[in-house]
Order: sequence, then C-alpha cells, then structure tokens
Amino acid sequence: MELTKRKSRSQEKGVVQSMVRTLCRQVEVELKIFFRNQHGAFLHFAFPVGAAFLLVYLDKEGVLENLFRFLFGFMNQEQMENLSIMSFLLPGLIGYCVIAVAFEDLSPKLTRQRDNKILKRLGGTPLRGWVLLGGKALSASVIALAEILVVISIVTLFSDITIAGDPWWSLVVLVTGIFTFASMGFALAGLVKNTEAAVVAVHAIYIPMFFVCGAIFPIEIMPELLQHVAKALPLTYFLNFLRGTLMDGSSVVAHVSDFLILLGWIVGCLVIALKTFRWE
Amino acid sequence: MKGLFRQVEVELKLFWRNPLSVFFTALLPILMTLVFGYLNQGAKVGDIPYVAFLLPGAIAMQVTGSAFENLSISLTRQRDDGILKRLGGTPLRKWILLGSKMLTASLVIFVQTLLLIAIGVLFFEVKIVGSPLVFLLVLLTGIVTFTSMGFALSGLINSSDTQSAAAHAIQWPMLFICGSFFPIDLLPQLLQHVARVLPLTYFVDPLRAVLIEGQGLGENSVDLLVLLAWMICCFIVSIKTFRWE
Repeated sequence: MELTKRKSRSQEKGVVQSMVRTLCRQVEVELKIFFRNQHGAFLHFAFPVGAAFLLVYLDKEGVLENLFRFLFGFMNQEQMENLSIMSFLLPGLIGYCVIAVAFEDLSPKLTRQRDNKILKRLGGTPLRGWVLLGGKALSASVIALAEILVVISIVTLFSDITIAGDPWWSLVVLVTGIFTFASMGFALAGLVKNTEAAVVAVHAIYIPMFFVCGAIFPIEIMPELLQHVAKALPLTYFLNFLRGTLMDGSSVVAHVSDFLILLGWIVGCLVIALKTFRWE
Repeated sequence: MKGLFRQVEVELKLFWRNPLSVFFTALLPILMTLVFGYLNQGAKVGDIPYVAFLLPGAIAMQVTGSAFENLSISLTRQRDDGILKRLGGTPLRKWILLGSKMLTASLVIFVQTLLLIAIGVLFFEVKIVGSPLVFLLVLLTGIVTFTSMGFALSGLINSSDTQSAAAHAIQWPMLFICGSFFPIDLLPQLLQHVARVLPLTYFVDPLRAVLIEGQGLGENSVDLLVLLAWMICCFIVSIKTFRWE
C-alpha cells in the first residue's frame, strides 16, 4: 500500500517533469526559429528601438512637448502641467512591444503553421496542444521582455525620467500583459479560417485599440463614447497597471482591479483558445 | 495599349482579392484623420484649420502606403515566388508590367483620396478651394515618384523580408518628419534639414497649397521641380534595377 502510493507519487512527479521539459524544449525551438530569421528579428527590434531614440532626441531638443501639445491640442493646460510626456509615452511604447510580439506576430504565425500543415505533423506527436501554446507564449515573453529592457534602458540612460517601480513587480505586470495578448491571439487564431483572415483581424483589432486605449494620448481627451469603448478593452487596463507600477512605483495591490480584469481576459481567451484550437 | 489595360484589370482583381492591402492603405489614414481631426477641432496652423492642414498629409500617407507597403512588397514577393520569372517568359514588357502596377495604384489612390476628402468636408467642414485639375496633376506626380521609389527599392533589395523592413524604415520616418502631420518648424534644426532633402516634403507642401489654399502651379514651381527631379531619378533607377528573377 505504502509502496504503491510512493510509486504513484513519483510517477506523477515524472509526468510533471517531462511536461516541463517538453515546454522548455518548445520555447527553445520557438526562439531558435525566431532568431534564425535575422531580418524578421531585426525588424521586430528596430521599430521600438528607433522610436525610443527618436523620443529621447526630440526630448533633448526640447520639442517633444510642443509636438505633443500640437498633435493632441485638445488637452487643457492643467492636464498638461501634471504630465511628463516622456513618462507618459514610455508605457505606450512598451505596450506596443507587447502587442507587436504577443499578438500581431504570434497569432498569424500559429495560423500559418496550421495552413502549412506543420501543426498537423505536430499533432501526430505526443505534444499536447496547451504545451505548444504555452511554449509560444513563453518564447514571446522572452522576446518582448528583451525588447522592453532595451527600450527602457535607452530612455532612462538618455533622458532624465525616473522609473520608480520595483523590477520584480514590474516583471509580473509585463508578463500578465504578454499572456493577455498572447491568449487573445490564440483565441483569434482558433476563431478565424486562415492566415489571411488572421492578419486582417489582428490589425483591425490592434491599430484602433492602440489609438483608443491611451497608449499615445490620455483617454480623457476623447469623446465619451470612445472612453466607454476603451474601458471595455484590455490594453487600457494593462497600460493603467503599467503606469501605476512601473512608472509611479505603486504596489500591485493598489492596482488589483486592473490585474483581475487582465486575469479575466486571460482566462476567457484561453477557454476560447483551447476550445477552438485545431491541429489542421 | 491593350496589354496595359489587361494587366491593370488583372492587378485590380488581385488587389481586391487581398483584403489586407486595401485595409492597410485605406484604414490608417482615415483613422488618423478622424482621431487627430477630432482632437484638434478649432486648432489652427497659421491661417488654416488643423484638419485642413492634416488632410493633404493623410493623402500623402496613403500614397506612400500604397507605394511602399503594397506595390513594392508585392513586387518583391512575386519575384521571390517565381511569378515574375514566368511572366518574363511571355511577350509582356517590363514597362507594361510596372506601368500597369502604377496605374492600378493610381486608381485605388484616387478612390481613397475622394473618400478622405469627403470625410474632411462632411465631418470637419474642410473647405476645398483648389482646382481639381492642378490637384490631380500634383497627385499624379507624387504617385509616380513614390511608386517608382518603391520599385527601385524592390530592385535594389534581394529578399522580401528585408524589403518589408526597409519599406517601413523609409516610409514612417519620412511621414513623420516631412510635414504630413505637423509643420516641420516644430522639429529640431537637424531633422528640418533632413526633411528638406526628402521628396515627401515637396509632395505634401504643393498638395496642401493647391488643395487647401487654392494656389496654382506657378506658385509651387520650385517644389514641383524638385519633386519632378526625384521622380525622374527614381523612375530611371526602378527601370535599371528591375529584374524578372
């Protein structure tokens, strides 16, 4: 009796271990594929890094604030005074990194592998669906975090804004965001028919979302209706969460509602993703 | 001539079949106009309302979008996929192929431009005072310039991956600094100098002067000559660098 119990426990441990091992192996493969396409990888890093340098340069020249005021002129003086443009735009840029890697890129990649029958072959192996998706989400996290680290380093090195947040809590926030958009991407991939549709859907979602959710200007300056739309979208909560923890250094507890909403998005999207996932 | 029209027909068909390209080139400028237009109601640039200032910039945005994101990337992809190689074996001349792509892009751009102007007029009460003929002429010069720039880019670069990176790397900074969304004097000196070299500045400025301020060709002759020079250079490079495989 005692013996069989111990045996089953060690078996369980073995199963978990082998799953973790498969997951790590998947992450390794995904990362290898990503970095082997050097131009693609370069393109991924080039835009946020270029944008970070441009922001820093415009800030140094003292024109960033004028430009911002010009483009989003509706904002009143009082709101502008309390706003450091650079520390407002940095989370927006980080949000872009997260969406570009975990949503814009990941979702069509999954459908393309399905279209090209790569998934069909993988489906014939002992690999589980959720391990495949988990591997993709984790490798996207690694890439996005690397990008974000570079962007933050550039901005903090060359401009005088300070980042008050605790690095570990910020990491939790970032990973939560990455998983939110990755699971959205997986759900989308399951819902659409093929890659072409996935690409269109991804852009149709993320470009307007980027405008509306306060990535480049505060949502308060938009009409009422769009503010309601923004409040229905996950990016708003991610950015809010990020601004609070990474930039202002408040604790995750203070933003627990943002966290719970993002968690809700993750769970909801994952349910759809797993229900609609197909190998072919 | 018949060959050219047949090609245009085929290109148009292919264009509408691929929703992504329509989406990219049409949606983003419209979204920009709506968002920035709304946020800056009542704001003025010099004497003209901001939306009226922005509208030509949005038109320029879809011209460069069509030229770089659509045409140039699809040309490279067709070469990568060996489609051009097969076409090269037919009696089709290269200038007819490139010309038909340019014409197709022009048709699509005309439709999108009308749509943008309609949005400006209906939602933001932009006053269009320019002569349509002069406007069309400036627009066409711009289209030929940027599409041939796109073709040249495709000829100079080998793979479609690199090409899409290069197309974005040229298009976005150019749109940003060349006065499409805000006057270039808001930028630091250095970037202003860069803007004065790039062709987009010489496209947006006359476009704005003609469409919004109702100027004629004569008042914009310097800008248009610079644009024309760019056009001829890009056109020659695009023909020289074109290859079927």
